[in-house]
Amino acid sequence: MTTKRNIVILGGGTAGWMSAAALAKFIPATHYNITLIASGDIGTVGVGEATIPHIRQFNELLGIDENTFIKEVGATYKLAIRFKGWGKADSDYCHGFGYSGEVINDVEFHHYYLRAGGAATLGHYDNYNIAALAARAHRFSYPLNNVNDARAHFGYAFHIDASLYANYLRKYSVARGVTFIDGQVTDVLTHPNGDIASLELSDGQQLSGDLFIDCSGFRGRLIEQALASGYENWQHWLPCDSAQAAASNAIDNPPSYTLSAAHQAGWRWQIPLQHRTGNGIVYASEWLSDEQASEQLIAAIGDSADAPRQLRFVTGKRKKSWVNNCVAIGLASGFLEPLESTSLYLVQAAIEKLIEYFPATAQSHGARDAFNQYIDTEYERVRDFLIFHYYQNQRDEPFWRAMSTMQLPDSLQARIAQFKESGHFNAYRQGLFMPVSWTSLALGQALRPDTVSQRINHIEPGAIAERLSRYALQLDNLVTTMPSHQQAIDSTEKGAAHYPAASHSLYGASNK
Amino acid sequence: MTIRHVGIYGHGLALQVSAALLNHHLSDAGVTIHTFNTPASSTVTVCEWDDTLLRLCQQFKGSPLEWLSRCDGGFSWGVHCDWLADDGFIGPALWGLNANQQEFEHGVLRLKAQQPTRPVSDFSIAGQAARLGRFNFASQHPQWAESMQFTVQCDAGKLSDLLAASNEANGVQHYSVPRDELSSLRLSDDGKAIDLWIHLTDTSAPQPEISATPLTASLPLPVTQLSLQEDALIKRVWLSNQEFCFQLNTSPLAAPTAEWQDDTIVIDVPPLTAVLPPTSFLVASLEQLLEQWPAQAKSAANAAAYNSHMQQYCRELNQFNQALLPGNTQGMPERLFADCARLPVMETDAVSRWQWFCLLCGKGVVPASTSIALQNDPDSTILPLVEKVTAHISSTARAMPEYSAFLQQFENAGVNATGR
Ligand SMILES: Cc1cc2nc3c(=O)[nH]c(=O)nc-3n(C[C@H](O)[C@H](O)[C@H](O)COP(=O)(O)OP(=O)(O)OC[C@H]3O[C@@H](n4cnc5c(N)ncnc54)[C@H](O)[C@@H]3O)c2cc1C
Repeated sequence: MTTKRNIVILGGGTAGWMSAAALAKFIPATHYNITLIASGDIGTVGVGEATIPHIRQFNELLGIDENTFIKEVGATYKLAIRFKGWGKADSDYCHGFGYSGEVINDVEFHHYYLRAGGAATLGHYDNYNIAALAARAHRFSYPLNNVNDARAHFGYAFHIDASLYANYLRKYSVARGVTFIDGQVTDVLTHPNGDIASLELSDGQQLSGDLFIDCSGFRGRLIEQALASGYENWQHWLPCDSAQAAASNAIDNPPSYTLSAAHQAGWRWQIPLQHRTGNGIVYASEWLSDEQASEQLIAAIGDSADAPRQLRFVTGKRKKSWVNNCVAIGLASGFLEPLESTSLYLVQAAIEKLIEYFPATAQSHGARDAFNQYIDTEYERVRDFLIFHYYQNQRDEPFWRAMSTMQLPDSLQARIAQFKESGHFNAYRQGLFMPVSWTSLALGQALRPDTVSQRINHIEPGAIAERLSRYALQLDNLVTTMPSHQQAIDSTEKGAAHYPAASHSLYGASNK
Repeated sequence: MTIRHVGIYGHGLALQVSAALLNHHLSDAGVTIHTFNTPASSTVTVCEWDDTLLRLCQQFKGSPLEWLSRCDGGFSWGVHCDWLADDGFIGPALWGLNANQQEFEHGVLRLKAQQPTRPVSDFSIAGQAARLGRFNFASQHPQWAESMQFTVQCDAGKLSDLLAASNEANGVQHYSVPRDELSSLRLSDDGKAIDLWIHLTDTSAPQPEISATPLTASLPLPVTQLSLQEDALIKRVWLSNQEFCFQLNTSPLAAPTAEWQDDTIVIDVPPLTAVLPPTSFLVASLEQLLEQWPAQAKSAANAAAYNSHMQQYCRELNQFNQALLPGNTQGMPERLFADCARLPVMETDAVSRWQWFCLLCGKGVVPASTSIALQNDPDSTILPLVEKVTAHISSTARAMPEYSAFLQQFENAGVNATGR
């Protein structure tokens, strides 16, 4: 008989329960015991409600029925993030989960759009992204299975109640053999080689383990407080360090987008759920006081609001997410503000990679180094994309002026310079955001390249404009055939919805 | 200034391939391609390709097979390296029958842990066919195309002539120039009109070929042979009618590079390399350029992005070449594979994961563990399944014609197609 390895997860927030559920599903119970410890006294961060399409893949891997999930977590559908006031005070664009237009003869769509005159001739760039159009119209339908139809080329995600999702995953995990201990870790005992040997709880209980997964949130109880991984502070690029969150009443026929509205020193979110609306304000405390922030939040969401809950954070990431026999996942491994709803995606990416690189023993130095490199790349690429939102602005307030003159990371500096000069963003293979996202942001925040691809020089702008206008009209018509978001939710609630398989991309099926 | 004229300075096949590819994609946009042909310095008369050649021929509206047959084309499932364990086979083809058989390779590794002498070539159609000396296209079994990937080799001079004729017919402007410095050519009347230069070099050309033997006594093999000698690799390649033997320097192995500075992109491609065909690099470097085609030649930021992509490509290629030869320190792919039989995420297509798997197994790296997803299933369940797929692979490979018979059929088809 083989001795079972003990996996101990510290933390019962979304990251802890997502880890527990995935491990319980994929790690054979004959070889491993999984225990999750969390302290009711400490509680969870309790936010984290906007997702991106990858969550569907996660649920699918766990074998969770999407309709049940939607019911259990009070979810609504999400097709885009709508950015208001980003770039300019009056700007308004969507980052939709889909391609804008098509790649024609190997040249990306936005080159045609710009050659034909851009927004001045053709209207908003969003007009060419079916996910953005449907989101703006508060509509939703599943992507079709027919690649020749524009309605096939998008993906979708959800707005969820984070606490309900964690509860749901808790039931899922416990049913699959995960042991849950409600207790507070007060001490961490290590072996002479630095590996964690056991955790001591406030009631004196000791819990030994072979592999520890630190999901203890910002404090990084194991990875930082015990193993001193170190933290790379990115506040000079992403200076927002505070947030306040408050719920308001549910919206009838809610938008199928997450709203991100910029204010004088940060931004405000609105996330519609079935039973309530999640709201919050993110800000840099150096530029906006807590009192000003709560006034603004209350003013925006109205009387129905609860008293706002205060949160503090430091943007950045652990120098190493995997140290000795401890792997940090979730807020314990780093925090990038939720502007593009990427945190749960980063949790998911870490879990999937850890399972791929299992058994993750103390001797797995190659796996550990590869994992850390993978996480670094994921974080850095998301970080650059987020900084781009702040940097690319023409707003007047002091905060925004400071943002537009900051010294960028070299990687981002190079990307923006390339786009300005040529209209191209090079693609990378590992990382969430493809050139299509970078372009939506650039055009949405009024960054126009000096030139576009010369490969379409021979095509008359008028001819392009005519074709694109026809295409936009066609998309418009297609959107009007979609049910309202409310109808879509109702039909899911009745269990009548036949949802499509999850796509592996942010943008659904590709037209490339 | 808009790019209207692209000058390609170099010689031989690389020159013609570059001209054909750029002309195909840019002529509609009003760009004229000019080739400045310098006298060849390399005596290598063989070129190797992965499937990019077939893809290019299709793009140029040529019949890939007809072209190949006119250039004495031969086919190869991969290379056989005589210093590696088991049978030393390294091929680009997928293990198993198709990509739907997830984690098949992990089942294979578990089988190999029980039977260390089982060669990796057992587990792909390409590998078994290479061992049996058989060959066929996947046309009858498109679902197995990934498990039947091959490379091609042909007479570089003949292919170059074919492409040159097609280029001329398609409007490429051709000039013969002495082996001059590009700098003086730039000042000439022809050179002054050029907006963007592609400078093709082969500074790490291998030693002159050792021998070329007509195939009278021996039979051609559908696999390239590499044998390791003190400071060199001896490479044997079979075309349809001849066997060629080359010596490649191993200290270090020749590696391509591509760099864009000001109005010039210098692409240095050795005519022959050990495992990864140099033409794949050439085509990848040109396709990348097309993808980020500049509005003007001097585009510092666009050039920097290009360079950084190509450097990554070269890094991945060099990582593989390092692992290929004995005695080098272990890189990340090898260390990760040794822990859990996985590979890190690769940013480019420089090396296929199957080539990595073949190499690492061939080096005798035995992973400490394999896929956790299969851990619930005991060997008594997994191994028979792997054997079942292997038997299927084996019968598919055995059903193929002998390679020499295939070549004969192929030649005849080529003759019919060309009316020769
Ligand atoms: C303002 C804000 C908005 C956000 N919005 C989004 C969003 O829209 N989309 C998105 O994807 N993400 C968002 N996030 C991120 C998201 O909330 C988190 O990634 C997610 O909730 C995971 O948190 P966690 O589980 O890592 O940490 P937490 O929720 O903080 O959980 C920590 C757990 O550790 C336990 N614990 C800690 N110390 C001890 C101890 N000593 N003993 C025992 N137990 C202990 C706690 O009890 C708790 O269970 C947002 C974050 C913030 C701050």
